Amino acid sequence: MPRGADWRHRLRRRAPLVALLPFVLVIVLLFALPTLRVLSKSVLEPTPGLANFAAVFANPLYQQVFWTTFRVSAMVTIISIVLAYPVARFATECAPLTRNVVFAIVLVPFWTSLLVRIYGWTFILQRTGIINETLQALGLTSAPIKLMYTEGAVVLGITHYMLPFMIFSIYVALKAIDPNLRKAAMTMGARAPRVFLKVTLPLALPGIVTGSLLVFIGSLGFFVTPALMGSPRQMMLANVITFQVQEALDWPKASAIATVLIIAVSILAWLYFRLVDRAPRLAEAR
Amino acid sequence: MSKRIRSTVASDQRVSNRKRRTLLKTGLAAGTLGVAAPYVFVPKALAQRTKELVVVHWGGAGGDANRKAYFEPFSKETGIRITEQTGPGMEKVKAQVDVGNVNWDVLVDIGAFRMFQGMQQDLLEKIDYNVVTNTKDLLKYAVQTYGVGSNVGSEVITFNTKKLGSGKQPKSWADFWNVSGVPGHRAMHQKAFGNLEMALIADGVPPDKLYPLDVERAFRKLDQLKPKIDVWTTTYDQPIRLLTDGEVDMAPTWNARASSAAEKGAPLGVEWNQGFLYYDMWSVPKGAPNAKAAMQFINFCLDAKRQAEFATMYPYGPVNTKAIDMIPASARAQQPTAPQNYEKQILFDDQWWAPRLTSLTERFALWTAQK
Repeated sequence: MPRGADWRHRLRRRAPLVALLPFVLVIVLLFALPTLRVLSKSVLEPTPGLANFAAVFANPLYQQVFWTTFRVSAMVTIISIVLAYPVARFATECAPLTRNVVFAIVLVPFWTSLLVRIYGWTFILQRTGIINETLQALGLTSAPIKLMYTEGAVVLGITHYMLPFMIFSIYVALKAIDPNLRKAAMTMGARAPRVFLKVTLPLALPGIVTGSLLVFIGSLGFFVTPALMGSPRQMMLANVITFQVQEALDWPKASAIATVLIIAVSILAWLYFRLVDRAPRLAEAR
Repeated sequence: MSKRIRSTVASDQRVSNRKRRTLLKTGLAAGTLGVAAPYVFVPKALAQRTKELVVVHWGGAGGDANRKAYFEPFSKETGIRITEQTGPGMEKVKAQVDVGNVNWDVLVDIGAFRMFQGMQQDLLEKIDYNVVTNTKDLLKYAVQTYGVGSNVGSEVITFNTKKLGSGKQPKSWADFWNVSGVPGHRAMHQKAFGNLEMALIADGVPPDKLYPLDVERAFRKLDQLKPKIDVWTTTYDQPIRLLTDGEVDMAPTWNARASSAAEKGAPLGVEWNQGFLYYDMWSVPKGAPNAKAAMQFINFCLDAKRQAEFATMYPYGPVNTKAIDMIPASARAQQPTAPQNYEKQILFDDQWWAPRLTSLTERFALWTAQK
């Protein structure tokens, strides 16, 4: 290559990286650096070492809270997949006008304040709420059923919030599937369940995995929903971090809890992305 | 104390908004972004300003009453402009003091235990009693080294009058614990402070022997009531709403919240007997740009007439004993510091709590989180 064209060629090759620069700057200056500074408190203050982590792991409260947080988030993710898949599938196959109506129904509650939605659920689920009053009026139950202030209520509240992420992730994956593939499979004599298992599901898997990642990680940070819809047994990590930051003013300990959360999430995200990378190959293997 | 929750609800809102914007980071956001923000966004404090005072209050009806009774008259009299901000959380004071960039001059109505906590972490200025001289008629507890009482609230037994009217209501913490004698659904706030005191009083500890608290005895007494608590509340308006809806029949709440809900027609009654009196304070962050005017402002607010005006608008009791007679009789009945109410109540000891708050709150959280 002639020397004169070299710099132009190099610039062209690097243009995408240059375009990334503003984003990288914003992330580094406004997120990464402050985050690192806060997280470093967990190992530097009040004395350098791992004492904050030892305190967090030794306290049964935090063990329970970690477990609850991951359990609730996993349940939300699984329920979201089950609820979202049929909606996404329907949206890929219906007329464009119907599809817009479906998306509006999915999105409008999403723009409603979280607090308003929690109060809505409270009026439905509480002891004197709509469900219990109706069941008793119909004579189906003699005493109120405990629906509110339970783990089920927390899972419901978070699922309500996170569901659109799953629906759109799966929708995008399903939309990309060539309809001829399904037709071909059926022509070859496969029945509907087999087409679903061998063709549609493997190709939809990347969407399901992406959706799961968004929903799971999003659910880990919930704060208001467990506080207002759960009992103290559903306390989640954001609740105890907030307590350490605002009430106890113990920032090193709050940082330690956040650091453990970040490490756990990073490992999970890595595993998930590996799964996404391998999903198409899995599909081919079948 | 009761006002503190507004900031918590506001930060709930912030967390939920942030969620939309930075989806993938949500897991980290609650803990990190909130703490990190002050390092990045706070501009360098303006050079010495003497004609401006930055006061930080809790907003809402209490903030309105503060503005009318204190801020506006102070500006008029001194010519010092008041800039209002909301949410005087001690964690924000800590963030400002830690990086040496303090923007606030006066913290309005912070719970006394927060004031003691700030004192222990060296986040507050000493009150200059050469400037703050209006202290002659103040309740004794209001005069502290790092803060001055702004008003007195009370955590009182509150009940739904439709369910528990005419004699069936709980009249003491022993009644609140007596689930067979005083039947009804119960809520309690998920916090250690106050609840340990309620348990000990219910167990027969005389009020003058309450402190230092017998923590083990308190938890044993709480064990008895735990299975009968229908809802553990986490925000300060939650018990009011639950009582108003009839979802629960009795709960400890904060007198000003209960009486302002009752004024709007909620079927709520308050039992003053064995209520816990707690102080809200004025304090000045360490290194406040206009600490001198801050002291002047605090002194201005201690005036009996100003205090009476505030208490008439918002039923937290004045700390100036001369103020109570200036309040109209109808509003006086709702005052924790009105003589007929004051003598039935017990003084909450923030100083005992400040060094123990974290460990006991963690213990209480674990206790509620386990079956």
